[in-house]
Amino acid sequence: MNGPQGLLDYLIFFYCCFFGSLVVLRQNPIESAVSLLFLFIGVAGIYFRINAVYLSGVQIIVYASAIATLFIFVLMLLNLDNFKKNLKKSYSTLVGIIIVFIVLGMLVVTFYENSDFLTVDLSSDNSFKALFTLLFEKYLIPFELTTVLITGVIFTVITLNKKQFLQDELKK
Amino acid sequence: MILYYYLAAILLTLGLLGLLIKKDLVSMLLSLEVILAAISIFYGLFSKSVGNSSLDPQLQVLFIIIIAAAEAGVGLTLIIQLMKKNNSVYVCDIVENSEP
Repeated sequence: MNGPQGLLDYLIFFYCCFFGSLVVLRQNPIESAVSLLFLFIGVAGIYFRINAVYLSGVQIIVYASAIATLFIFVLMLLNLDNFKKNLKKSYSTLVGIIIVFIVLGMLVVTFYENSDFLTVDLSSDNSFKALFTLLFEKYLIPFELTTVLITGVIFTVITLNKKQFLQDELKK
Repeated sequence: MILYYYLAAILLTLGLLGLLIKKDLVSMLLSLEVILAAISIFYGLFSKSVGNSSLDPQLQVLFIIIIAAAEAGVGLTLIIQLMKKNNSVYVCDIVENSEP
């Protein structure tokens, strides 16, 4: 794809690669979390570019605004310092890195060979009505089950914190 | 737009790399988020690909986001509790201090 649209694609590509690598390579987790926030904004840009506008909005509102910000706040509250020994240096790490790059090569070759099948069609159906009809008809049970999941998570988080709180109180 | 598929592959690789080379739990959780972002990019693109003209993958991205939120909540709580107990977020310290 050429022209300004193609340039935009390359811009988003390098933006996401840059912040994705910062998440992994920075020593300080707070810097990594801030990079993750910028990465999520880049991912929202990708959804916007392929006309998946609803996903783009959800990515910004839920993922970038809520989850990434939660990470940053919690890391600030943890008051972490001294991250000099953060990166592992061992023989097994080297083997792991080699395997990871083999996985990357396999994925790239697979995508390249199936590029005709995977080409993005921007004129496909994009209406909110079709999306939500599918959500409340075909995916109704999984959608309801997610509420159970979220409730379970809330209970887990409260129980874990309460248990620690009670132990601290008993020690006093 | 095959470029974005390559981006998803690169992000997946970076996430796996982060899980392997980092020592502290917080950075490992962040790497897991990168992997989830890569998978959601792949699903989002797949919903618009020529060979698959359906909206199902877009909804699956929605479910991935819900699961990521749940994972972040539980993961961060566990990290805070481990931090209080062991005074460290490094995996090696936590394994050393754990009771057999």
